Amino acid sequence: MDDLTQTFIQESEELLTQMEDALLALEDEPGDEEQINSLFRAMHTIKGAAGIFGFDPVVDFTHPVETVLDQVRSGGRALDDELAGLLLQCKDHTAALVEQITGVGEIEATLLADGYTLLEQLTGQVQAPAVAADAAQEGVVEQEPVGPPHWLITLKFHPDALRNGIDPVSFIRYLGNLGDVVDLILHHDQLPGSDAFDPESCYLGFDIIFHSDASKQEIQAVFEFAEDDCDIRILPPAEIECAFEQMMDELPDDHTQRLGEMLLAVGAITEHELTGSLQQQTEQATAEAEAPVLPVGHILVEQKAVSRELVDKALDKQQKAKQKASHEASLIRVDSAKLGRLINLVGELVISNAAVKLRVEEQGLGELSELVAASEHLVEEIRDNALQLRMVQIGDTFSRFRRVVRDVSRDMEKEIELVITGGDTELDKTVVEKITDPLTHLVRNSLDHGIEMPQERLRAGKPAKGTLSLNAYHDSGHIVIQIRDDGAGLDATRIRAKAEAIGLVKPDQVLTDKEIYQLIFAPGLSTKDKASNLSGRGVGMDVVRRNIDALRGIIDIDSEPGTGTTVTIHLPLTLAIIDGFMVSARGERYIIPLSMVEECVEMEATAWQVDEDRRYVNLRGEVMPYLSLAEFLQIPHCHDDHRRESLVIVRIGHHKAGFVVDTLHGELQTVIKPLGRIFSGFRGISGSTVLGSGEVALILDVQGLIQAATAQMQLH
Amino acid sequence: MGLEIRQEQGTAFVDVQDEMTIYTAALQWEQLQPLLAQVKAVDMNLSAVSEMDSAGIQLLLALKQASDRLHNRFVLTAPAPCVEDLLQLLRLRSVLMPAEEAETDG
Amino acid sequence: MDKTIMVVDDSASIRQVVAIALKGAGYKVIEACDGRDALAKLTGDKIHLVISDVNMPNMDGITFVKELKQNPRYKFTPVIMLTTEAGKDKMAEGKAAGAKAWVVKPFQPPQMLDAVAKLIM
Repeated sequence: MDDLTQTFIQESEELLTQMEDALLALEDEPGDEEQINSLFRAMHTIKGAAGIFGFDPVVDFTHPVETVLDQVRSGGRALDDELAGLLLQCKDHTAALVEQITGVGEIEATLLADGYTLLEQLTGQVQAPAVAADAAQEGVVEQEPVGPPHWLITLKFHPDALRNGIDPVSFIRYLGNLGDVVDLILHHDQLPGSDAFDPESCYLGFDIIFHSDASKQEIQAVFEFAEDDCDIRILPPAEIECAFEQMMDELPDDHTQRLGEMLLAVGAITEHELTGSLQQQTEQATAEAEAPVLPVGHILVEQKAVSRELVDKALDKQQKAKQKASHEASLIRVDSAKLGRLINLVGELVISNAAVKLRVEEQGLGELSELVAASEHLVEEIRDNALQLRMVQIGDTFSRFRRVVRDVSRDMEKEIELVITGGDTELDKTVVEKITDPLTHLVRNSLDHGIEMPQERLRAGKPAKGTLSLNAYHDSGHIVIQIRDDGAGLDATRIRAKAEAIGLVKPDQVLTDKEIYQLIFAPGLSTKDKASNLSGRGVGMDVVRRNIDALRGIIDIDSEPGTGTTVTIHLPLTLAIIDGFMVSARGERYIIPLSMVEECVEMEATAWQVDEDRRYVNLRGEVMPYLSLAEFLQIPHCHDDHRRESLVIVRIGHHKAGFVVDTLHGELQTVIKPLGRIFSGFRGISGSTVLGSGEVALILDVQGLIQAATAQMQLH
Repeated sequence: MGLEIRQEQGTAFVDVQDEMTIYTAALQWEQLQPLLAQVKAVDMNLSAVSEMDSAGIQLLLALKQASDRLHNRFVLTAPAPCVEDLLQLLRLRSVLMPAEEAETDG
Repeated sequence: MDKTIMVVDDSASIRQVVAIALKGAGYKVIEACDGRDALAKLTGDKIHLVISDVNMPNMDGITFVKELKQNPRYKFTPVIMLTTEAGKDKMAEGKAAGAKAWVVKPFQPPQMLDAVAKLIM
C-alpha cells in the first residue's frame, strides 16, 4: 500500500474518532455548534479525500450523510437520539468501507446493501443508485484536473554564475526531461551599457511556464547545482493554486501547525524554502531588533514563493484551528519520568531550603532572613508549578466510561444514561493512573447491580432509564470523586448476614445502616459469589478500598434503599509534596497534611467537655472523637511531660476528629517520602519527610487515625 | 578560428568561425565592441558557430542592445543548428532576428 | 557536437563504469587516474566538464580543481566531485576550490548522467 493511501486511512480514522467523540459529547450538550460542525467536517473531509483517491463507494455513502449533517448544522433537522444512533452506525459503516476499499479494493455486496439500508433510514428516501452516481460524479468534477499543472519558475542568476561553470541554458534544457517548457521570458534588462558590460558576468533572468506532473521537490532538484548561483522560485500559479486550496481545506482543522509547515504539508512550498525563510526571519530579527519580526508568510510572499491568497488562506485556517483548540496547540509531550525527576529535585530543593532557613534562624542572621523568605516563596512557586505540570483533567478518565455504559446497557438490556460533571477537575497524573481500575470496578458495580431492569424500575415508580453520575470537585486540597446511581441501593440485611457469618460483627452488635454499608469494604465480605458476578474480574470492594488507601485517600459509601447508592472517594491531589502542619508529641515531630487541619484549640477539659472515658470532646456543640497521639503511637514518656496540650481538629469529608499533641510548630512544605518496608505495617503513619535540620518527621495517616479514634469512641 | 571581420560601406560583416561560449565571450567582445562605433550596421554570420551557451547568447543580446543605442542595424544571418536551437529554446528569434521572423510570418 | 568530459578517479572500476555510461550517452571521455595525471592530460583541447574523485594518491581532487581553475583555458569548466556521505566536510573545501556539483558515492550511472545533463545539456 502506498504512502498516500496510508495517509488517507489514517486521516479517515482520526476524523471518524472525532465524529464519535462529537456524537457522544452532543448527548451531554445537545446543540453544541462546534461539535455539530465537527460531525459535518468529518463526513465532508472524508468524502473529499475519497473523491481524490477515486474511492467512489466511500463518496457515495458519505455524500448523503454529509447532506443530512448540513441540514442539522443549518437547523433544518434536529439531532435527536434516533439520528445520533444512526450517525454512530454511519461512522462505523464508513470505517468499514474505508477498510475494505483500501484493503481489498472493492466493497462486498452485503456491506453496500447495509449502506443503502442505513441511508434509507437516515434520509427517509430509497437510495437509488442514481443518487449515489450523482454524488460520485460531483466528486469527480470537483477534483479532475485539466492536464498536468502549470508551474511558474523564476530564475535570477548571479553575476558569477557563468564564471562558476553554471550555464543557465543547460538547466532549462534539462527541465525538458520533466515536462514541457510551455513558455519562457528571458530577462536581459539588467544588461549594462556596452562600456560596463562584462561578457563573463551573468545578467540574465528567466520566467518559465512549465507544464509538468512533477512535484515541486523534483523541479527544485533540477536546479540543485545552481542554488548558489541563482535565486530560484517555483510558484504554482492559478490552476494549481486551486488544487492547493482544496487540499488545504481537506487538512483537518486541528492540524495547528506553523504556517510554513502547513504550506509544506500541502506541497505549496518545499522544505528548502521554509528553512530559507526561517533563516531570513532570524537574520532580520537580529538585524533590526527593534523592528517587529516579519511573519514567515510575509517573507514567503515577498520572495514570491507562494501567492498572497494562499498564505492568507493558510493563516486563516491556522487561526481557526488555534481558536478551536488553543490549549492543544501549545501542548508538548514530555516523558512523565522526566517530570517525576523534576518533582523529586524540587522536593530536595524544598528540604535544602528549609535547612538554610533553619540555620539562618539558629544563627540569628537577621539580614539574611528576608532573602531566605524570598527564596522560600520562589521555591514554593516552583513546587506548585512543577506539580501543576503533572496535573491532568479527570474528564478523560470519566469519558472512557461512556462506551462501557453504552455496551453494558446494550448487553444487559438496561437503559442507562451517563452524566459527567466536573470533568475539568485536575489531579496528579500518577493518581489518575491508579484510580482508573477502582473507578472501573465501581462503575461496573453500579451498572450491573445498582441500576435495575427497566420494568423493575417502572414498577418502583422510577423512570425506565437509570442514571449513573460521575462527578468530581476539589475540596480543601483533595479531589472528591463521586459515583452515584439511582438504582435499588444496598441490601443492609444481606450485608449484615454475611458480616455475621464471617464473624466480622457480633449478632448482638448495634449498627446503623450506614455503618453496615461500610462493611462491604472489609476483606472477605465482598463475598465470592458477589465478586464473581460483579465485574467478572473477581475483585472485591476490599481491593478497591486497598487501592484508595494506597493513594492516602478514603472511600465512603452511602445508600438509600430504592433510591440509589453513592460512592465518594477523597484523594490527595498529589502524592509528592504537600503543605504540612507540624506538631510534636512527647518530643517527636509529626506532620499533618495542612489541608486536613480544621483548627487548633487548647485542650481544656472543662471548656470542651472532654470525656476521658468515652474519648470524645464537645467542641462548641459538635461531638467528635479524639485520641492522644503519644498514646496511640506509643511514644515513650520523657521528663518534661504534660504542661499544656493542644487539640488539632482534622477533617476528611464529614469525618472529624481531634488529635491531642504537646506543641504546634506551624506550617511547612513537606516532601513525601515513601515509607520503608519496616514502617509499612505501622498504623497511623503514611509517610515520612526530611526536615531542614536533617531530622526525619513522620507524616500522619489522618484517615487511619480518624478511624481509630472513631472506633475507640464506640468501644467505650 | 575566431572572428573574420570585414567592413563594407559602413557595414561590418562578422563571420564567426568558433564557438560562442563563456570561454570565448571575453575575447569576442573585445574585438566587436570597438567596431560598433565605427559602423552603421553589423551583420553577423552564425553559420559556422560550433557551440553556443548562455554567455554566447548574452553576448549577442549585449551587441544588439549596444547597436540599438547607436541606432545601428544589427543583423544575424544563417544561424547554425546549435544557435537556432538556442534561439528557439529561449524564445529569442523575435528579439534577435526580427526581420527574418517577419518574413517567415508573412 | 560531442562534448568532452574528463573523469578523474584512482579506482579503475569507477572510471570504467562512469566512462561507459558517459560514452553511451554520447559524450567523449578522457580518463585520468589522479590529479597529477589529470593535469598532465589538460592539453588545451576543450573539456566541457570534469568529474573528479576527492581522495586520490599523488594529487587529491581538491588540489586538482584548484589547479584547474588557475588554468585560463579551463577556469570556467564545471566540476562534479565524487564524495562519500562521510566526506561532507570536504564539500565546503571543494566548493571553495571551484567545484559546482556533487554526486555521492555509491551512485548508479543514471544519477551521474543526470548530474552531467544538468550542467552541460
